[in-house]
Amino acid sequence: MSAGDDNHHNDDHDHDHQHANSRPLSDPELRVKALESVLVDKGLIDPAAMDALIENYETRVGPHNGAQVVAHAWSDQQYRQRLLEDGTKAIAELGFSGMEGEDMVVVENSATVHNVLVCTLCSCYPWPTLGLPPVWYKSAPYRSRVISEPRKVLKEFGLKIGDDVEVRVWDSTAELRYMVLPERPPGTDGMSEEQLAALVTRDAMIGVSLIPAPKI
Amino acid sequence: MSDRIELPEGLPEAIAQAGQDAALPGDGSELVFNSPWEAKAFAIVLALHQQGHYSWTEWAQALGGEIRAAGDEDDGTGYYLLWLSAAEKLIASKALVDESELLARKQALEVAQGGPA
Repeated sequence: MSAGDDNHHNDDHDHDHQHANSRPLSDPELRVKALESVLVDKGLIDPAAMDALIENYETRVGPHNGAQVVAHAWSDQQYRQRLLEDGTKAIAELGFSGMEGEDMVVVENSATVHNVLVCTLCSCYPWPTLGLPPVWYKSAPYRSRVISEPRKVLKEFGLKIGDDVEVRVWDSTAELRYMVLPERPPGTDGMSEEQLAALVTRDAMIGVSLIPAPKI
Repeated sequence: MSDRIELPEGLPEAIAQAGQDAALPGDGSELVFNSPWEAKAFAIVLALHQQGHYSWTEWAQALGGEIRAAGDEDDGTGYYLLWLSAAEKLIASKALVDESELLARKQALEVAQGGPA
């Protein structure tokens, strides 16, 4: 199922209402609707709270948060130190915490070490800083192959890691999550944190790409 | 050498796409949820956890079980189907909702929309 399929025009706000001519709900739609309505009837969930949760993850939580953390670490050596020593605490300093961000370990890329993240068990991922994981992160091939042949997988992302660079693969769990602190690209001296944050990509914080020097 | 190399051993096409422009929210290149039901399924699991009905580790184990069962064919696109199945099972195992009640509700919804008689 792709984002462009028939479900897509259903993404607007009146999706919950049954119109006379609307298409019948699909099986997963029916299952979710049944689950939700039973839980609401029992008072176990509050529809308004659910909407707030969804809105939060659709709009506020995402890799722009992680980008701020990275830019701040690049700009402030003491913060960088704190970030590497206690990721959870340092990230919370910038206001990012919550689900799947309770025990954060930040791993730093350097000229000699390249870090990359995976969750082999399921899809654990640092939500507060990176948002929800991309589809490929959740795929079986990525989950297994990045462990067995990380350099080859990185190459498929267009990232060639030199033989003199050690590749470390970090397997996230429900208790512990990682985030990569990418290397600051050359040609960025004197940039503001805001400008730096705009250079930082989600994939660089997963470790499947580097941050290129800005185009001048 | 092009910087986007073809993907030989079945890394999903999504990798090529996702790798291309590391999507930051707001650039519109990747949706968080592909359809509203995925968002709902996601929120149900979070909401029940936040009310203390299960630990997040319990949830990760439930989801991990579904993902393992899906095996190597799992390309990540059916993720929320696995999520939903894991949710239904965990919620039933915690006796929050009775499975027969759920089924009856689903059938009622089907009938209401003129579905299978």
